[in-house]
Amino acid sequence: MARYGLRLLYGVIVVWGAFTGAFFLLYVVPGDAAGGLTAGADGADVKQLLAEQRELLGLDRPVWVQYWDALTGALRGDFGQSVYQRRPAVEVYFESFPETLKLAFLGLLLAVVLGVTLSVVIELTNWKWARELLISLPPVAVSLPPFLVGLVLLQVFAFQLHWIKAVGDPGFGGLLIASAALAVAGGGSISQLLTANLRGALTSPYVETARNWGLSRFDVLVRHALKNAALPVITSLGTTVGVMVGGTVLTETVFSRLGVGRLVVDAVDGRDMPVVLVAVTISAVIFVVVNLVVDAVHPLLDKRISWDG
Amino acid sequence: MSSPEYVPSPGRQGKPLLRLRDVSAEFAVPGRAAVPVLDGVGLDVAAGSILAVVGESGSGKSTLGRVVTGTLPENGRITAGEVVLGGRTLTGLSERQYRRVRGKEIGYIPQDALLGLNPLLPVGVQAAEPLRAHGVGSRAERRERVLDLFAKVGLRDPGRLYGRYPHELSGGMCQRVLIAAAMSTRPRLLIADEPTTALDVTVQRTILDLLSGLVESEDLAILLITHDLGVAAERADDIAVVKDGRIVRGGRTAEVVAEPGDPYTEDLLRSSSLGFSGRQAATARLEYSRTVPADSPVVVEARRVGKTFASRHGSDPVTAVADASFQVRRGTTLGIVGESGSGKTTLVRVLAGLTPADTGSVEIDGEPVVHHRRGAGQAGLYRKVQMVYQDPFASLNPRSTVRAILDEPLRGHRYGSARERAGRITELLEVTGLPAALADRYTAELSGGQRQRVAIARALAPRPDVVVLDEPVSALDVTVQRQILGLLDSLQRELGLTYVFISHDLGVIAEVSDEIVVLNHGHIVERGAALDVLTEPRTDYVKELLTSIPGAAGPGPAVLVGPGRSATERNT
Amino acid sequence: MTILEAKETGASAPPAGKPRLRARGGRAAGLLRSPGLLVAYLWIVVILLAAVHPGLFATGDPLRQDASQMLLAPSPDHLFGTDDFGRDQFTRTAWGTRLSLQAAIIAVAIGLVSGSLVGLVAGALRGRADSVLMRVVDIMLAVPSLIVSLAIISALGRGTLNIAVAIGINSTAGFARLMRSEVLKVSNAKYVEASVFAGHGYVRRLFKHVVPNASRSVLAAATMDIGTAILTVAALSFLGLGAPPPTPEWGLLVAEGRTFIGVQWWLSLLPGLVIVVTVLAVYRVGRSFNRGRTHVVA
Repeated sequence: MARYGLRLLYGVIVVWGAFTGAFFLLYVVPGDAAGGLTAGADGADVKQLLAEQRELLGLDRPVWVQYWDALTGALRGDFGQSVYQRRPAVEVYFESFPETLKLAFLGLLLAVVLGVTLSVVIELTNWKWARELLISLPPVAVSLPPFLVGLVLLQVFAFQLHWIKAVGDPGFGGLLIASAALAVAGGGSISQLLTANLRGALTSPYVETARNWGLSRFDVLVRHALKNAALPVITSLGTTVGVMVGGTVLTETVFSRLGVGRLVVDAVDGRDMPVVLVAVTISAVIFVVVNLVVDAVHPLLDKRISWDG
Repeated sequence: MSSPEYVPSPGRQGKPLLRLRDVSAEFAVPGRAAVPVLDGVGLDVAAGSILAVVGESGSGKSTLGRVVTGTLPENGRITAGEVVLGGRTLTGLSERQYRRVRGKEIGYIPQDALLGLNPLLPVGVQAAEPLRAHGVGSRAERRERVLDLFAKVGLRDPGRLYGRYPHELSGGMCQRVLIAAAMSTRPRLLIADEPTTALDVTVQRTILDLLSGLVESEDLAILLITHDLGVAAERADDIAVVKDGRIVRGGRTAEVVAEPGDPYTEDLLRSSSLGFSGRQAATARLEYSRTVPADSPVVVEARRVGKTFASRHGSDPVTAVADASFQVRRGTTLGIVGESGSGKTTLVRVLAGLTPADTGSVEIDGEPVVHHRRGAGQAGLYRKVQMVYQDPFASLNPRSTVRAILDEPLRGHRYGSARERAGRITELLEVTGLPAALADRYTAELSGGQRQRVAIARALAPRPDVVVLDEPVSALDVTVQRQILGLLDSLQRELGLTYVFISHDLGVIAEVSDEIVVLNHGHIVERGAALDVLTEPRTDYVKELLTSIPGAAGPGPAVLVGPGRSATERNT
Repeated sequence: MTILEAKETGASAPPAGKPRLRARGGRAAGLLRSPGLLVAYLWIVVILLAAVHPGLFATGDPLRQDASQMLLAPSPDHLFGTDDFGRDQFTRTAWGTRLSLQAAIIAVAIGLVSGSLVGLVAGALRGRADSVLMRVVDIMLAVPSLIVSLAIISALGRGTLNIAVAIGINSTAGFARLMRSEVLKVSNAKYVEASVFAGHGYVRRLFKHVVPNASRSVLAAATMDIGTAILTVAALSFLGLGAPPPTPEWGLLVAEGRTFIGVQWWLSLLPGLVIVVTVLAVYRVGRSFNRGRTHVVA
């Protein structure tokens, strides 16, 4: 358990680092957020307005004081007011969060199912040209821009088949199609990694042994090679989830779904720094939590690893 | 092409169990002509006997095993001949049909036991896999049978072991698990592909004893694939020597050993530890030892060297070397022998300043050996000490030419002008027996033996006094080993070099050493003049090491008995 | 988007004495045996030409509007059709190559140079410097790359160059980690240890043995990363964070055509196809440099 405690501490450091990095990036590099608010105004009162805003937002104080306030605020769950919505940024963020969570979760599920199935089918396919064709799929999937996949699916399912609404379909069909668009790249990258690992596992001595025990190809693959090959896929799950979270930004834009992804794009567009800060911090929290879960599960799958070392 | 030298043996029960007739196989290479790997191989294995297929790397011996188990890689195919097992022709079976033979009638034992088991499954479950694959018994019955077999193959406490994972077991135990798995379906034939190569000699002996026992008790036939003619001669009833995919000599073991009749087989015989005698080897070496003056100065002095490694995550630290003291005099060879985990590698790294010692000190030519992580301030030391590594594939930069490799130490140790260095490189190639034309080749293009010669030439470049040889021949084929050992010997005579020679192989150590240090679990268990250690070992451990040398002692048929074997060796 | 790890899947050296099955004849012969790779190279040449000299492919003006030619379907006159201002979409795609490709290459160059330096320093110094640098890298990798890019753009402001800088900064972490692991791996190689006996100083040994061998993998990974960068540049432009509208740029073209996806689907999908084919070609070529390694691109 000692190792796990250390991991926990380490996770806290990562989240703190992400928050800190984002804070200085967002609040120090560009000057300040007040500029964004006054972008539309012109004439003599701009300076006046800017100064008022700065005072209002507390941007006239030294950076370190601002940082300290932001950090202690964040610990209490207060990331400041969304500049546009005039509500706490956290509130704005978590309002859209369930929508995105559903999308990302379903997307991840589809990606894992598609990726693993494809890899297994590749290894079980005897026919040479069919196999070559299947092997070429994961790289293609990774090369497809997620927004383009979304547009194609939208064109087919909304405009040709009329299964879903083109704009922000609230039903399960809309969710499924959107998460499918999200899953293509993720599934491709899972399948690429898994296929490469399977290739390695299938040429390893223990698979040679299993083959010589008279096991069928399917048994060799599923009972012996797959579990070994899947371990690195599982340990990189944190990153895959990150790809999903990033991907929602594009998918939600294409399908006009009101989720965190859209929110972030709008916030970036309008330089709504508190919202961007929340998004960055929560993304880091998600990454850390997923990795902690993977760390907890890993020793159960691989007895060579233990919590104590 | 059939092999006229090979007369199939009648075996004990008349008809052979396994018969290969004129088998040829080849590997397809994209864009080029297929590479033949087997060429008209014919052999018989009778039930209740062991046939050893002996060959060096690339001889096709492993392919021979795969031809029988039907597991040639995708680009390989059998082009001619047939494989018959107990009257049934195996060649031409479909994959589905073959699967019923594999693991049922033919058992298989892989080379590296630790890698041969799935790291993620308990060993008990794995040992039952052949039964499961062939649908034998219920889950409970399979478990029963595995527990039974675990006891039979000499694994203690089978019940507890059943749920253990491979990483919790030693190499020897893993190999026993694999033997139990192979035997679970009561096969008639066992293919053992270098079953003991990855194991320590003492463990190797017990595993081979187990296999020999199974042949007796189960009337099993074993096709033993090995590079070690010593192992073959000690254990097999028949021997087939393979070279370039052909059987160059085959027959009863006693006949092959007594009358090799074939230059390659003779070469193998000479290179093997067969008929090894500690006294003979040490006596031969003594001729050289006597030429070194008795008052030759001490060049390497280790005083109470100790090194402990902090174990991972809190468990007890591991003592790699404890309290090691020894001296080496100029012009002599100190042989350090030990099995895996004996601490010999750590000791040698301390000697060469690559690892700091926790306690004690080492002096070379009266100067203390210091360690610096980045090697700073050690250039002076490395003018006197050089090292040759075990694996010449890993120790030479694959993207350098031979010339660049040899030039590097010459520049580093400031050996004169470009012209002088070029002259020295020519000289180095010459003394190490490499053709001058090799200078501008990349090491990736060289054979293992050539590479090791380059590594030796590199070590000699700054004219060192001491050369540390870390298992310098272990990665090489036996016949190449012989050549490299010969080269090292002549270099020592010509240049008056001092060697510290590390090996796991007591046979090699016996041949090259003037003094011997035996390490076990980090402690020096014996130390002294080679002849004394080899002929009058004081500890059981060294006695065991001596008897474990394949072909040196034991019950194998027709072993050439060395004249000077002592009574103690025979009895242990 | 980062390269998470580079793993050797093949044995680096053939075992002693085994007949070497490696085909000789070099890259040219390899190309002929692999038509896919040949096509990939040809496509990259076409794309590079388009980036340098778009006039070779489309003689028209990408900004010229024509009210009489609005929203035409693809035809020999307008290969990709025309948009709602009557501009020729093929011409716009050809002219958009330069900006898209420029941004991707700048991004990778920034990531490669800064990442390699950080990784080299971390791997060579080890100890505390290594831990601190790698913790920073871990933090950067903890946040999804698209979110990091977005945050950087909200700080720097919109624009294609800013997109490139954002992606470059972001991919620094991946390159740093890869370079460090390669430096550590190569440093552990026996031939590097053996070089200490040659009497040279640490820095010389580092640059003679470690850096050349380690950077091979990193450079090979960088070719793959260009593909990923093209995708990210397009994604960020698609979100409207790149060049302002009339400018031809791949991601922006897809975004502008989005409104017409129901009927004039070609406006979005044909420029999108150009992106896909380009990325595929870059990955294919990248993979040929990475033979024996698996680069996990995420």
